[in-house]
Amino acid sequence: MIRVSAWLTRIALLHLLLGFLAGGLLLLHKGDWLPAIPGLLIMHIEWVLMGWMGLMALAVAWWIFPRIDRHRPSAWPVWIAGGVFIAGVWTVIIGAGAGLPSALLAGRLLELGGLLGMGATLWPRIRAYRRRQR
Amino acid sequence: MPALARLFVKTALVYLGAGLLLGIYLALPARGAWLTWQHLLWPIWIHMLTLGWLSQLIFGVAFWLFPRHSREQPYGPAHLAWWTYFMLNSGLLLRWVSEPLTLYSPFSLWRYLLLLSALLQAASGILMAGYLWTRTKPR
Repeated sequence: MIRVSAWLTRIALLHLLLGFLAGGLLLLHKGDWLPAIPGLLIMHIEWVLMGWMGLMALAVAWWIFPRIDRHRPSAWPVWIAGGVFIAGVWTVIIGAGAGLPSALLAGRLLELGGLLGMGATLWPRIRAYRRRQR
Repeated sequence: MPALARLFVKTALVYLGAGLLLGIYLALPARGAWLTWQHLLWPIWIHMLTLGWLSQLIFGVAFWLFPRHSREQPYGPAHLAWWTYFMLNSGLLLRWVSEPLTLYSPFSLWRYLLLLSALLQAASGILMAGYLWTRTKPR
């Protein structure tokens, strides 16, 4: 597995772990086993939808999508875009925990920026296989 | 495709079908008790699609396609992934029953089943994250 994909996948797995734990806590609250934790529902949704599923899909796409002329483009834009996306997830998490709506907005903008960066590098690689010339 | 990957993917497809059926029920015009049940079943529907369908599909495909653990043991500590399958699905099935009934009825058994369901689902996340970590190797 390409190094950048492996690291983004590992961070996605960390988000999977946190997202499932947060979901368990929410369910315990629903059964009156625990008091409510402010912002936990937003954290749960963010960790699972963006941090786990979104990041995992982008990381694996960079690894397995067809190469361009047998070369995979430089990985450094993906390191940066992935970092921005992850920063966005954690800005939303912090915003949800601290009750800061402006941080939620900033986090979602960072996520969008990260996605656009990843999308720009992935877009040219979404194509049909070229038939070999004889 | 290894047996566990097939099991994850087929179960995921069953959840997608069940999620679509429940989605139809939730979209029907409703009043009174029927409407109450639609509200109670809404979180079940979301988790049918995000956990039962999407997460389980990702688990199955990752188990199948991620880099091999080693030549001798290509799927590594696969028992962790098997445990994930059973814990996730038993947790989800328990949740179908206990989550709406905990809110609908004062009978305390539902609370205990909901507790068990929460523990099973959270544990399945811990196990799968740990398992896939062993298969995520940078080159």
